[in-house]
Amino acid sequence: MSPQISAIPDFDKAVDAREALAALQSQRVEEWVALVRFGDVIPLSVENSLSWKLTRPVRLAQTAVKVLRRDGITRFWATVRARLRRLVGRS
Amino acid sequence: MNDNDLVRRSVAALRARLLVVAPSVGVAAGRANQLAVGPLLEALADAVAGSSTPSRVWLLATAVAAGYPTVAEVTAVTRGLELAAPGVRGGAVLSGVAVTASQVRSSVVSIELVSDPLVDVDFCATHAHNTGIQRVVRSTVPKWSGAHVLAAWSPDGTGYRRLTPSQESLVTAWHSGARAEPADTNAEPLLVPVDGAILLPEVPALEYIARLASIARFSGNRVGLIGYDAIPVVSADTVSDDESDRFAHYLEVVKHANVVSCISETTADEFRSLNSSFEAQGIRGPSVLALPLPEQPVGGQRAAEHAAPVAVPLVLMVGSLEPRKNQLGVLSASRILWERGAEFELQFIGGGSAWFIAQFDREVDAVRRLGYPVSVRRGVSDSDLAAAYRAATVFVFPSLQEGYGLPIVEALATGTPVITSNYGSMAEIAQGGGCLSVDPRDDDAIADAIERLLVDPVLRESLIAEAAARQGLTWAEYAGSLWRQFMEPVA
Repeated sequence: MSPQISAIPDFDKAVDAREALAALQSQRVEEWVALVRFGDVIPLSVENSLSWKLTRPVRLAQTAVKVLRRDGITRFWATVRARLRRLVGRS
Repeated sequence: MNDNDLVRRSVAALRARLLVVAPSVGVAAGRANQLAVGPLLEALADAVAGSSTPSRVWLLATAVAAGYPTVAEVTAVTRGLELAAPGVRGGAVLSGVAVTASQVRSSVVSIELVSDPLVDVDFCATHAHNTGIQRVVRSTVPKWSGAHVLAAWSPDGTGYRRLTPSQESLVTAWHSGARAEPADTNAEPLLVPVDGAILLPEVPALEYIARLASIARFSGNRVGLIGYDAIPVVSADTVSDDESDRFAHYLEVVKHANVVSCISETTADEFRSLNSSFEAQGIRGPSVLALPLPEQPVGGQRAAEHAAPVAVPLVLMVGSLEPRKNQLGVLSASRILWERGAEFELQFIGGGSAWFIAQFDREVDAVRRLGYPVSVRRGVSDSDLAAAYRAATVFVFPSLQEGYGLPIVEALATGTPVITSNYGSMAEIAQGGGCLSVDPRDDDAIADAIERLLVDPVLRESLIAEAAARQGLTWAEYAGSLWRQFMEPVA
């Protein structure tokens, strides 16, 4: 390092701070990757989605009653079979 | 491999994805290569925040998540970048796309930037099913000579992948008896369209629509789709709730698309009326064009000669079994004729959903028990279908609503006269000759039309002559015109 630059009192500290910031930025990316890959923490939007999923059985039961009343037992079972097939296809 | 190793590999894969998109979002490759993953993300986030271009936000969000972000995610990233200070903008991107990132199954997804049009043939690549839309896709896409990339969704539903050889064969070389093979493409490179196009010759499944809507709205890629019909919303009573739900969400893609090529003038009118409703949202909607489907017999070869007249005439109806197609109207009209003493055999070809097949079979059995000759065939090969068209004396297709009416032109191309509906796309086809038009809701009118064609050989011959004189497109001509509509600038 040239004498002129080393004469600036906080230069080394500034370099250290930039390196520390870069390290922190990379650490944050690593933590985020661990979160989204292994689910240690569930993002809020995913949590919302999960709470919707927990209410889904109730919604399904309501839909089933609606289909039964409107379309009768034959179409009801056809709907159940179609949805199960789709479920299996997705897994 | 333990969790730490996986995180390390995932971080390396993320850095590699950021390096691929860096030049496209305004960070020179030379500078990007010198940065560790954290500062690299910050540099890209700063560049994107400085440009405020939706396509750059979408591209960076896609690279970080390793999947296509939804509209809500791109909006969250955009707002996060506006509010965050330099040096911490990367956090806005990370938190904005966390949901899509958590849905990506593979830890090591790379990306491939694609500027040639991406053609979504997901259903045809993963299902052997081959009616209506699949016939159009499999007859058209393999004939496109312009550079393009066929794509299907990864099983985790987060982005497009190139087709496997088996998937490609199912699209470009389908044959009766072909089977779909499951393919785990989650770890294959994610195809990322940049300054290119997305072409949607199929109607996408509901689970992909949020990501496609985001592509159409933000990515800057041209989006072209085939408009088959708007039946799931304008005639929701004739389809399943799932179909209506899917189409309603599909409109989110339609309204941000550039071009919709409709399979008939009638369907083009329907999509133009949808454009009017988009105007209420301050959205102009796509350019809507009409390109009627080709008039080619099944198998592609026009019959040299129609089958010789047979002792008992055959009245044929082809189409999937569903109430909208009006098979029950044809059955009722035929019963009217048999009770008048007419002699003919009635044949239905086509599969359908279980609930309607059960109802339909009961109705057919009731008519059979009266001694009338009616048959139902399902799972018919293309060669047997072509033979049935040739053997038919009359082809009936009085559907209540169609986007086009492919079986009508298949019958006409085979030289068989047709009875069809007197409105919509079917009347549009009938204007070209070879058809009698009837009110499909009037069983007596259907019966009278069938009777005329059975007892009046002069009328039948004149319709056959009209059918032979029709000037329809071939599939190759249709494919060429469709490609031009998709790719040429819209006026």
